[in-house]
Amino acid sequence: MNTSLKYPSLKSFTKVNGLVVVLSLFLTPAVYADEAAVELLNRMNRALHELNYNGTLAYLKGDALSSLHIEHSVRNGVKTERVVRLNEEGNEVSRELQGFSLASIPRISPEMNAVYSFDMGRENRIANISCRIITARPKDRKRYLQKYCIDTKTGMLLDYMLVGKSHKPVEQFMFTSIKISLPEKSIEEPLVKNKDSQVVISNVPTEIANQVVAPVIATKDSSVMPVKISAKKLTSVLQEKSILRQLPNTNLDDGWVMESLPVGFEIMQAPSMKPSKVRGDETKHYVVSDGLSSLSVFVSPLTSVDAGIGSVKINSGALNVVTQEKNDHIITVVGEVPESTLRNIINNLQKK
Amino acid sequence: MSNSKKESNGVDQQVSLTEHLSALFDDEAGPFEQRRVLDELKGNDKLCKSLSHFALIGETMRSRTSVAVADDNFLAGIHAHIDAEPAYNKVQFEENIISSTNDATNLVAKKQRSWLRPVGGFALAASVAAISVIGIQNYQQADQSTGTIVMTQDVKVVKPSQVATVVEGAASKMNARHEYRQANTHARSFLKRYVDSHMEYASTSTFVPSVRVIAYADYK
Repeated sequence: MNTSLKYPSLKSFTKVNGLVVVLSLFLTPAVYADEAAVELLNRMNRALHELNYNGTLAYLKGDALSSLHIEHSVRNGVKTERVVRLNEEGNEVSRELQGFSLASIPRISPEMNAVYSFDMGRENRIANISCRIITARPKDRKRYLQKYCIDTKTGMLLDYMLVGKSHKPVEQFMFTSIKISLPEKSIEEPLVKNKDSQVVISNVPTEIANQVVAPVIATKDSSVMPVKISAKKLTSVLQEKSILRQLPNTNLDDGWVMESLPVGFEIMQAPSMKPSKVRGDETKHYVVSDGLSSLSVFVSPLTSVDAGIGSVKINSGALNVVTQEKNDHIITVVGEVPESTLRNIINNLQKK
Repeated sequence: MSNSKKESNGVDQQVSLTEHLSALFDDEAGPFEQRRVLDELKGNDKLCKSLSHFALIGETMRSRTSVAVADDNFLAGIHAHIDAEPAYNKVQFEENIISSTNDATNLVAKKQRSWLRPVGGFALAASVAAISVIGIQNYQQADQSTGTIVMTQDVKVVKPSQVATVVEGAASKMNARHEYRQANTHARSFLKRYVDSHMEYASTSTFVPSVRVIAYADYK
């Protein structure tokens, strides 16, 4: 019997082992880099909730550039946040932007590794602060690439962008100046109220300090008055998402079935939309998300009013909207994912 | 200049080019750097090898599985086939799309071209890959911009003349299959409700929920 067929020679065994050693040496730093990247992303997530920061950021949406002023503070465990558009007409109240919060960036969970690779990039400098680039690179073309630049000392996010298929940012914000400090825990400050005891918004500081404050124990910043924001706004991003109900399978209401979903996405049910003045029936709302990218699927019976709308395709920065009529229903898909993903979802939604 | 100085300059230039190449790979190179590196790749074997190494390293780190290693001549093959191809331009690309809708003519043409497939497979793939680096991204962006609708959550009154300008400008770029419609009050509120609800329950991005509907593409 020819034993050489059964047992590999010592030479080839050594070769294979050598290759394994070389490969493991090569891959180990990558694994560590990934872990460090995820750790820094999760630190950033905490920092966005727990730190006081106030600054100006440049905001790019498609080809449109604007600037915003953001104030986020935590006093006695209560978070307040206010964002004001700086390049629009009107008073500060009318220019206040509802629904925008840096703290809405989700935490990274281990399952996300199945669809994204988290890479630690080079050092960069934003708003005169040194930061580290982290990339969440999708493993398919169903979602956007996400790029962060994070201050490694404080964990503060200084630059964030979604990159489309053309390798250019579809949406981005970047701080041009920022003050970062630790939250105050024991100092109680009264809310600013008007004569009718309504909470009012204080003036935005006209001169925003260009000097960057290193993370030190916070001192009272008299230029920024505390503002109470509505309960709805405080809870809008994270707490209300807990209302979402995970579906055990891809069977939706009224005989609709999502025949397949892109890898990593899961489907949840959101509260149905209440009937509007022109629409008598409820619209079912489903949320499809992989944790970092998400989209909404709306299914509503087709009415005579909707019939004239046609098949809609809208793009606004990272946001895409696609509608299509199907089985006497109008399907609307909205999400910060490429348009092809939305079409894929609509095609896979079938009435049984 | 002494030989040693010349050599050190050559080494410096190579280091700088490798850095530019790395930047290109990380999508951090500007248009000028991109052009320079792509030009340099035509005649610089060392840089070609660096490109292959970067691609291999990146792919291995991302997939963590075995990857196919391309031959060093792969890039040379791409360049050779690009040189052999007729000059690329957008009009030609659009003509190809339009011709694909003429089924009968197209079928005959496809049959006639079928012998080219096995021979030209590599050429086509290589060309597409290279074009995607050089120029097609511009086309895609132009195409995407046709679908771009200027939207904001605060619905604003827009003068009809402005709408006409937007629609006309977009229409000149867009594919003939798309039509642009002016958004009426119902269409605006219809879309706004959905975007609002998405922002409330689903959105994971931190971006400004601003959508201003002036017109939308009807792709039927």
